Amino acid sequence: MIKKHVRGAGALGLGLLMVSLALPLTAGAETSHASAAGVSGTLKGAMSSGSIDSMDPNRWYFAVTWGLANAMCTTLVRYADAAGAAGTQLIPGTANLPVVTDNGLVYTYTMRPGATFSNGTPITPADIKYSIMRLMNPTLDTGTGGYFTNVVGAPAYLAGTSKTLAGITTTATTITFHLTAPDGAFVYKTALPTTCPVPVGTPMKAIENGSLEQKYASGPYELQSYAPGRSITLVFNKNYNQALGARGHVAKIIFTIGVQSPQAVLEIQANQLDFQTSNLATADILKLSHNSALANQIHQSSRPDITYLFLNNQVAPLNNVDVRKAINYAVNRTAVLTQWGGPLAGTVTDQLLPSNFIDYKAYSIYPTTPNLAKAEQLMKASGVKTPVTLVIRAQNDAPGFMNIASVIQSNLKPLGINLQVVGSPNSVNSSFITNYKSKTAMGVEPWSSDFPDAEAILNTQLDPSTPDAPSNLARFADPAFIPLFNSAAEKSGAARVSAYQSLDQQVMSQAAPIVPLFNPRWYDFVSANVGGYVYSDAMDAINYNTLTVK
Amino acid sequence: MSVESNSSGPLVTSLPPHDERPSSLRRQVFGRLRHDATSMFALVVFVLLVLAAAIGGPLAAWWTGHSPDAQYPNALSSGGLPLGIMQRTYLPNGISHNPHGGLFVLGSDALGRDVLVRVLYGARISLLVAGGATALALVIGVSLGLLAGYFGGWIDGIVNRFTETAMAFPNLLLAVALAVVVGPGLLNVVVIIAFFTWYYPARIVRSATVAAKEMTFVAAARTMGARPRRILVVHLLPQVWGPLLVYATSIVANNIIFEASLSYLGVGVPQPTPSWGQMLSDAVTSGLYQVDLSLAVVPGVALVLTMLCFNLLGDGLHDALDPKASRR
Amino acid sequence: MRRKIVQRLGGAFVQVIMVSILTWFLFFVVARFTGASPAARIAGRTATASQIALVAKIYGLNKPYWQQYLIFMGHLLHGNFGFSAVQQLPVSTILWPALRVTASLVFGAALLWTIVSAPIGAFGALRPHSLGDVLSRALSVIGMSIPVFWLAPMVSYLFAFEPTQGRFLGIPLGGHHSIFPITGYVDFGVNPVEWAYHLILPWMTLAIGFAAVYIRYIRAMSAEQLGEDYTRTAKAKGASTARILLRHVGRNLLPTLTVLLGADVAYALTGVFFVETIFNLPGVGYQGVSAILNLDYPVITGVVIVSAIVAVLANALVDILHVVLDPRLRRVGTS
Repeated sequence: MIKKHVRGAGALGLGLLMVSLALPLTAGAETSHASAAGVSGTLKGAMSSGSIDSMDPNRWYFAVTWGLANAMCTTLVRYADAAGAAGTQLIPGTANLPVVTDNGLVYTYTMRPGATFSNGTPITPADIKYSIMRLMNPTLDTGTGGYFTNVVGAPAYLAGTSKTLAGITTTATTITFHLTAPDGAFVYKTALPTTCPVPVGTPMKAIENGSLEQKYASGPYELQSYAPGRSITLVFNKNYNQALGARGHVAKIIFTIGVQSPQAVLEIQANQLDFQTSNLATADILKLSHNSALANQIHQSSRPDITYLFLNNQVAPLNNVDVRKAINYAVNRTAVLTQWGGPLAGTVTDQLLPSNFIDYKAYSIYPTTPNLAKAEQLMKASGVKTPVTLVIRAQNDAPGFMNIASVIQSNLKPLGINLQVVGSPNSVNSSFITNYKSKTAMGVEPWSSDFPDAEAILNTQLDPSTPDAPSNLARFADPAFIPLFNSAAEKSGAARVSAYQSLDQQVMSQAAPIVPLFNPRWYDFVSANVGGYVYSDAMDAINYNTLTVK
Repeated sequence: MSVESNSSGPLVTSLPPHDERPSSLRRQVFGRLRHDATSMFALVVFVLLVLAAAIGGPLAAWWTGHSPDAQYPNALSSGGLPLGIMQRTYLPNGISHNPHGGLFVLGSDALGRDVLVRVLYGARISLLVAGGATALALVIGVSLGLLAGYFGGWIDGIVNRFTETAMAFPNLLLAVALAVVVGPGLLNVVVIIAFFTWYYPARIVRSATVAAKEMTFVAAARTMGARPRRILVVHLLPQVWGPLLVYATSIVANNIIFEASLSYLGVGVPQPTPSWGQMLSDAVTSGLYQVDLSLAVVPGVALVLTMLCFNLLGDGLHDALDPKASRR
Repeated sequence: MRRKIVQRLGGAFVQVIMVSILTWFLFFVVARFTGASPAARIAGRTATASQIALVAKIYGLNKPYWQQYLIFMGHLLHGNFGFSAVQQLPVSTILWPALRVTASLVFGAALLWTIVSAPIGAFGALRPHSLGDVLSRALSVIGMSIPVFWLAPMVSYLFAFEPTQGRFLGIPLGGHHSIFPITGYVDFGVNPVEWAYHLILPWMTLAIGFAAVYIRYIRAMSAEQLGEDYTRTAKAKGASTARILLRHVGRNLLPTLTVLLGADVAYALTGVFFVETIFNLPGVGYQGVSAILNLDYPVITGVVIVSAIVAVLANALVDILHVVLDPRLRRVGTS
């Protein structure tokens, strides 16, 4: 489904991953719990309403909720608590990095001793298998079940025709995944926040009241209280085994939900608030960066997010490739980026993969400023009768997207394409555009990669074998591309990198199913009390595990 | 009919009773209005407002060379900050043939559009929508009010119950809900606003009709065999237009705010048509007003001035129509 | 008088029934014609097919309309306003605390605007056309003309935020002071002082518009009373101006004032969305509009019903109070 932010992988990431796959690391065997003395202070944060999509640990999908997940869960393997590209490197979580055998078809994880839930009971391989089955269970309707289709027995389980999953086997200390085809990104999938461990026997229906995170948190923080739409309170989890990784330095973190971003910024400046989970608005970035006294309270981070305009490839006239290319030439990407904050806030792009992905290679297929002549020429060549009226959807929780839609509206007018801008809150907008039956013609969407690999962008967004998938907003279904997408996903190493590089270029230059707009940067403004600020590239959220109170 | 003569000549007749001479009432009303300074001021502002709505927009667009919907990327800094009041930028040839072309008198908005031109076109939208909605509401309300007041009985009962219940509902909420369902559009907004305002004139007209129908001339007309429609239109309607006119100004004012509220919430006039409420909403929800206060002040002042004008006008009309009230 | 009260209450009851029928009609019948089935809307946009079927069963959405209405009323009478899929809470859990917030805001503001407008209006009536009177009338007309959705962000920015940056209305302060909190609501039960502190700016914002109107009302009504014979008699008997105003004029004004206040409070209870949003007070207006934008139908239905019933009851209560306070109305027969 749609998420707000994108994760990135650094060049270092995949390399180190390959090294670590060859050499399984074993971590220390002792248990250690942080003493209360090292953990102190309270931080207050603000969230805009609609930031939380679900509080079920196997269902949540929005980036803000994944930020919470990163604090309350430890997955089999997890990302390092470092900034930038180093934060996309996988390290042991509740288990060591897997041993891969049988030509990439079998992944064996050995559990590290001492991993417990917040109520003290140990986390067993059976619990992990159960959690993954829960996220794949069709009644829970999660957004990440589809990543595990290549596990043996998964298709039947996902369809609801089978109640068991033979492809995951467990012993007292190991959990093994058997795949039907090689998958170069499989290890990343076992670090997804939706694989957050829950105990065997947890009901197979959505549990939204936060009770699971209260009793069974597996990360440095546990949920103390949750008032939907009002507040969330996290407290330090004393039962988290610090030997698994020293994390968590704040005694309590309180989130207030429903504060609008401009008001939150005023409060942070007034030191009545410590941080917020929404991106800083343009006006605030500029206003704050002029104030030198606040320089060390503003943090800029890279995010491999791609914000793009999706075109419904099954709705006329967007089913005509010349029309789609014409739109790619007519949209003023620079003006669009200006609405997001200009060069400070991101970089324009005409490709799918974000520029800090390992598989990115600059191709310059479409220009950053519009070429109206070429666009009109393509429109004429398409043979489509104009004027035509289409609906363009955008989130209106943050003003940036609506303004971007307005810019695009004025860009496409000369082509005879008249757009009606329809804004709605993220939750409503998301439910429209992910439902293929709504036949939404166009929309402005930010996409956050679920994990730092090209598969999470290209295959998730555009896999032509699943045009009705919720994340395939463009309803891209060109059969000629199906084998290319499949084979790229199965490769590993250098072959994978070059396969995705050429796939990126081919899709955009031949089929142009979407109009990539820009890769945004993340700006955070925190109060003077906040220390240890790290933005997690993998979760696309603030990493609460490194925060300290000054 | 008392006739008093005085030594200097002309006869002074006392004023004929209200209900016999409606046309001279009009003359008296305007006479009183003319002498009230604040009402004259409001009238002048009103005329200016109508002028601004009618030709102000196109005039400003011609003078500056900017159309209301045109987005000028050069009017924004690279970070998206708009131009302030009376600031200039360079616009490449072909966009404006006018030496003022690069000047943005009231600055630009978040999308690089000229605020002055938009504010003047916004006057047009505000007046059109509010006026149209009020007209529609008056048509419905007056008809129902006349019918209810004159015929009484069960018609009156139904209309009464209906208006009372309708007035209990939260207007803004239901209007927003309706707007979300029917979708964006200028005509939609007008109809929705009219839908939530017709009961106020209905009540006024109904009580005025009930009072008026007791008067002798109505009974006279009835005995002479006049049909109900004739009585309603020819005899009763002129009686109610007085208080209705006063009320109409406040309804129009209210509807201007109603449309601005709907646009503020994003369900009013669709993009890119300029509307004061939407301009205000853009400035506030994006927080841009904290950087450039004029973005919020300009549409806000426009709204306040318009409301002030209508309120003062309504006051003046009220005083003019009923000279005994609060004139001491 | 007892008969009038009973009549009025009976009328209010009928109105409540009508409100419930109309609301039910709007959301359960008309909704059908605009797309998704009521069950799908109530269950929420992310509901699975089995959840939708369950909702249809609970609301009996395949039964004849009159049965559906009775089920709906049955639920209402038990305080069951349904379940919000969007917020994952029963609607009543969302609405009752919201009602507390809005009531705090509106009643506090009503007190403030009455206290402010009464002396100013009375003064204007006592000294008509004086500088003070002209000034107060000018301010009142301007106050009436300021839209709330403009006033709220301006007040928040100028009074709450600017002081934290060392400025107050353009005057530099020495250093950064936090005079008012910028947003937030603290419940009275949790901390009464904080409750009032967080509500000062919202009360001011809401009161300005109403005070402007009430100054005019009170001035006009006081002027009328001061022209009456009894005030002249009282003055001739040597009563002080204050005594006349408070004991005689004030008491005669009270019934009408109560009616006006009642109507305005009832109206305000549902129309304070803008103030609630800017100051982040989770009240009924805020819940209502965000429910609409989020297509959260159970909450929308709940807010509409609660608002309408509050309005009906408030008006009925106020009419009864009017009869109680105004002796002239007691002896008259049926209207």
